Amino acid sequence: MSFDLRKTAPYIHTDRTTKYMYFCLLIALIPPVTYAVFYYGLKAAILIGFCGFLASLCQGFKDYSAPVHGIVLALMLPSTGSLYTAAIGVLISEFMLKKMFGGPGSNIVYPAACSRMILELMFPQDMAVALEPGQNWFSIKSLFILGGEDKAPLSTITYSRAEIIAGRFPTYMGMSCFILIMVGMVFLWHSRATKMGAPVAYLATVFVIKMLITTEGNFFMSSASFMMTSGVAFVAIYMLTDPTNTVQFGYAAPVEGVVCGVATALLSMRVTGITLVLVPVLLAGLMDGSIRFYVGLLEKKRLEVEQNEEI
Amino acid sequence: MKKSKIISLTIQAAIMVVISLVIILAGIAMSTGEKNERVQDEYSERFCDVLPASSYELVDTDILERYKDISAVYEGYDENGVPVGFVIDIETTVKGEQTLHVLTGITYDGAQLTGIKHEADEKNPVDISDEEINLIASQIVGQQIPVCINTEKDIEVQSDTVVRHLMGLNDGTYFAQAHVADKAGYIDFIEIDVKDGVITRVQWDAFNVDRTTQNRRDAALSGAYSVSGENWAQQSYNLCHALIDCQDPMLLAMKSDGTTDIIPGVTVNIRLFMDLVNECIDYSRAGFDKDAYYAGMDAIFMELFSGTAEELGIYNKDGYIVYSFSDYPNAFDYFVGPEESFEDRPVLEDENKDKNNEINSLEDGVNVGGSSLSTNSIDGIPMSEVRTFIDGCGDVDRTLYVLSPVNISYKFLKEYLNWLA
Repeated sequence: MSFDLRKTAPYIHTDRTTKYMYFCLLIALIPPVTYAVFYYGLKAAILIGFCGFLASLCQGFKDYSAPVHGIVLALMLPSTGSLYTAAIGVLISEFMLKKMFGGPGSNIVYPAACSRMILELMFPQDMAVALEPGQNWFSIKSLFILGGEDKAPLSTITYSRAEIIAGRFPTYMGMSCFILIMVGMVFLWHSRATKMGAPVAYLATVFVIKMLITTEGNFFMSSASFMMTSGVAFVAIYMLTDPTNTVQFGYAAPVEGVVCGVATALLSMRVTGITLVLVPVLLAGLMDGSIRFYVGLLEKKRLEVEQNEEI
Repeated sequence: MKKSKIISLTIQAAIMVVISLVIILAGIAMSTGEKNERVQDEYSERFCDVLPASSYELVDTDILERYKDISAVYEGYDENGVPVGFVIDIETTVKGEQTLHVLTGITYDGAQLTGIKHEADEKNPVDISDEEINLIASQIVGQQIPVCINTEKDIEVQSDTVVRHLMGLNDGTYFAQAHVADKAGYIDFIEIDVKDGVITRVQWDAFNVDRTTQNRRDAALSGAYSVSGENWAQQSYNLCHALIDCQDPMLLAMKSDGTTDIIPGVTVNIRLFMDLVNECIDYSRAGFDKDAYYAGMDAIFMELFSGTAEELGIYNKDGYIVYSFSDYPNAFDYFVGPEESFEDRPVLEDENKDKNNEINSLEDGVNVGGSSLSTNSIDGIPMSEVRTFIDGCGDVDRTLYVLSPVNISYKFLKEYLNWLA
């Protein structure tokens, strides 16, 4: 019999293990995956399956964190993404960002977010292409061509409100389906797999600040439109709920969400695209330790003050 | 995790799939109307200068894979849903890596250019000004395509191309149909359009005495009607276009067995086609158009059955009179034809007529005058197909920059309409 001396009493026995958390995250990913396959077809199914499988293979099928990160990465790729870029992304995520930092659970930033940013820097033109959803369901040619399909959407298109709500506009495969992402959030909340403090604080912060800094048109609608089209919901539900990189308990969780939200809202004045939503997540991941420390310190001081008052 | 927990989660996963699909379908139902409206507004704004239409639809065809310059093709419809033409979004590489991005509008039969518009969004634009493009556009819009510049015409005339027209054709739509149905119950018909004395459209098809049966072209395309060699619809199209190219049915070189060797892909017997085309040409000379032809047919029905075709209810859904006179071999004696006699046979106008090359009798399978159906080419199109010659903007190269997308558009439509014509 061996004892882990780092652990101290009291011991809690629960079935909400890390394995359970990631399994629930996998289920919560079903809505955006369904959306991606429904609208982008066979190539989306292959890309998602490929990323999930390759990530699991790299980690040796030990737990469900690898397929979660692989699928999240795939959902952030354009529908014209190739298997080559996807493979590079997964390998960066699994080897550079996880294994080199000590394996699963030891990564300091969200691996899929970081590897997606690296892909953005390595293949900016390939990553910028997005097709109208609902076209060429059976076409898989782009999977095998580095450079994707040479047809970008018209950038001047203004989509109708109904189209935005339904997620029928071209963007990365799984990031535009706001309502379906919310379904994933409801599932996570219902299953109690992860805490919702960080994502809720993040979304609320982005929405409020976006309303405050909007100078033209209907503030509320403009902000709501941003929430649905920018991918912040995807980031909130599938990255800020990750038990490895986000604080799950106490005041630190909403604080991390607020920090991330402020960064996103401010960046939106200068930056667009995937950079807008991923850079704040990476920053929050890097600041995770500091946030825990300072929030813990404040908590400790508050408790001391309360104890002193009682005395 | 316990087995029961895994089963529970699996069931929840299945429920998530169902919920997701329901939400997606509801989203589609909710947004389709607005999406269509938005798309049509965008199309109208973008294409109205090129091809005015009530609505536009993106054309999805594998043929586009062979035309790398063409980004997209849209079909325009009028308010009744009748196709009016095509808008072709095309970016041609004209000089090194320089490109020219234009929209071309072409009428449904692929004969006339309705507009050309420069989309100034090229990464590496060619050095041609919008004024020059507009100058060229003013010369080709409203004209038949393909187009080439006059210098090429001069070169061509110096070689062996001879432009022929049948004399005395009156503008209009002319029609003739077979008197009796064939063994499969099909009654062949020919319809030709003549504009400015030139045959601009030829349609060869056949309707069936069984009015629930598809026309022969549709039946051939759907596989219900087959002939040896290429698809009948394809052969019909090739033959009709060959006639438009050469303008004279005698140049199609029908042999004594009713076939021809000079039109690629055409192996069917064309004797009935030739007879009906000659009949149409005669009608054109006499100004006896399709309406007059149907009035003439009515005279037969009045004589035989004491009622017009409409009264007898023998029109099919496409508006053709479906009746085979197999039991009345002399029925067409009652046909009220044009007043003008057909005794004067077709006279060939030969713009570069060589008097030493006069042919008095036809050799079996050889076209009259020895002119070729395809000679030199521009943008891969035989010069014999070129319909319009222009002066351009003064610079040959720059003129060709603009003409190239127009001619590529023609080539695409020629191939695409192969299956629709």
